[in-house]
Amino acid sequence: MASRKQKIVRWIFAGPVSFVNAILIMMGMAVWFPKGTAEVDNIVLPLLLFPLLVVSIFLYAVLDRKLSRMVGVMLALLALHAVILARHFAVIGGG
Amino acid sequence: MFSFQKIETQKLLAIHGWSGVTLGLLLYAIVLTGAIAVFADEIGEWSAGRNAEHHSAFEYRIAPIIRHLATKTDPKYYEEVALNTNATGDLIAFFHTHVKNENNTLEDYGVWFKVNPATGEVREQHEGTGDEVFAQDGESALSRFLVDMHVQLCLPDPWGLLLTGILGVAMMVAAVSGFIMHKHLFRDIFTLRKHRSPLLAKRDIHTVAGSWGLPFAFILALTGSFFSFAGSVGLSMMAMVAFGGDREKLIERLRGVPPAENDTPAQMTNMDALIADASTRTGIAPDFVGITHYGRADANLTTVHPSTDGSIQRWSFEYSLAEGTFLQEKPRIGKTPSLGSAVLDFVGPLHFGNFAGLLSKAVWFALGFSMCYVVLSGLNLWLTRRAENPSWRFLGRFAVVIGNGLPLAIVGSCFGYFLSLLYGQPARWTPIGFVSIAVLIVLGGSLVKDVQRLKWSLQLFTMFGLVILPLLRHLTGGPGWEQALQTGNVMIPALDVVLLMGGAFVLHTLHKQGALPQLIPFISQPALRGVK
Repeated sequence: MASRKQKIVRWIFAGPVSFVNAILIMMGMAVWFPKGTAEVDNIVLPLLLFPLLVVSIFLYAVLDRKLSRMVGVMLALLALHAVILARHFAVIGGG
Repeated sequence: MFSFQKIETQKLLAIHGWSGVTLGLLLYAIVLTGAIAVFADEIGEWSAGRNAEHHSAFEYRIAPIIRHLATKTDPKYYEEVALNTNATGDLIAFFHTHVKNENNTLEDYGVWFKVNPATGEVREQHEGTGDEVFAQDGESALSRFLVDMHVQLCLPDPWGLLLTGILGVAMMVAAVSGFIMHKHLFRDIFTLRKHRSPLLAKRDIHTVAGSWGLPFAFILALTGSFFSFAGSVGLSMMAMVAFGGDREKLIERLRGVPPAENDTPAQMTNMDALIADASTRTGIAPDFVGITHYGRADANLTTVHPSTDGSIQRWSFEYSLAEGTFLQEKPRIGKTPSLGSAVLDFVGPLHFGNFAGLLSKAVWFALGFSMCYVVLSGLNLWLTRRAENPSWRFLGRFAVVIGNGLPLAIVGSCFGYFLSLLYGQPARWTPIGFVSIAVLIVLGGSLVKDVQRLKWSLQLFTMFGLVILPLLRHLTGGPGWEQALQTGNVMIPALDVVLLMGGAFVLHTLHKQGALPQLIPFISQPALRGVK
């Protein structure tokens, strides 16, 4: 049985962390997703995928049997897109 | 369906239940208003008593009308002109520019005209923001209110859109968790154990209706939350990343890169010829025409047409209005065809159900109603299992009030609309009609002790409302069936009949449950037996 502490951690990751993760992935996709011929694919497709991202990440966070693995995957996704975005903003901020 | 241990199945069941219980009633409101809003155009024609001979304002010669309106408009509003047909078949022309509002976001601002396309007579003229001036169109007030209820629950921007986006995500969570927790999905969708316990029978009906409607629920939730999130915060977030926060640049990219600026004044060519050319290409008149930089050498005209020949795609063509030449078939977004544009071509029709005319709309309407049943029956199952717990009884009463009260409040908005046709300001009185009835329902819900009696009373009032509406429509100046059919408007008698059938269905349901003798004292049991 999961302890109370483990349950709290899981619900924090399934709730707010999932949502923030989905937002960062959506914004990060604007950087790494191919722009396509009309240069709109990297804007439209992440927006369309956003609800799917929220649901998928939420369900993954709830259902992964190993809490430590779930926390690791979630933090890795979060860190990856935070770095992509930070680097992107540093580049466009620096002209 | 999927192999889960008991603990995962329990978690999925909890997610499925809680997502339905916490947001189920709001979700019900969104789905019900959405099912009705599928027929928003038809409701507009029905409520405004539209003469179907005026099918589209673009079937008339509108070029002289636009030239005349331009002389009455400050040239600073020539930046864009949006043209469409309203519920009565009048031409709506909105000459506008873009201004920053108090939230520092760009907003349309300009002069709005409502014109009889046959005579060119200007029926109304207003100046203000896009939201303000379009709200002045009283004849479209009812359909606009129903759509607004569905899109943002009549809440201010961006909160309404955010809420409906979250509800869309909750619907997806409920649908996906409901799908994957089935061990035997294909057996479950054909299982109806009517003769076992009532609770089991209810659960089976919920499972069967939910499972069959699952792909539909998923598509609606995905496309709906896309519209909500993109419109509220998504575009601003993407603008922050892709355009350094410049939302205007992002919109420009999505609409297609504009041609090189040339502000030299120029004579406009005959836009009627361009619209006729576009109509010939698709076989159908446009439902929207947009003009940029009216009166300049770089003026462009874009037509948007409904889908035809079973195609899901809407058509759009771009012309040079200054030179009178065809420029290109325009993708939905961007300057050239792209994956994003191709995907978006499907998103709108899949959400609105308007890809195959009335047939697809009827299917979407029916599936919407079945989803309402799934949401309410799921909630009832949850509450039945906890019937012994007093703290859940309040939610049970609340579910009865919302579940049966919302259709009645929507009927109330129709009453508000039609009565205001006699005294003016339908845009104001339509929501007032809704709110007034909703307040009475809530008062009744807190005063009537017997929940079953409360439920039946709300259904009885809804029945009366549905039956009276066609008569009220006619008494407040709407055309009769003969007159409507003479002018080719089938929608007026058709919707009247649908309302009468709806009333008859509610009456039949009440009769079947034996509710009538308890609600209406003069209907005694012997009398009913005599009828039988």
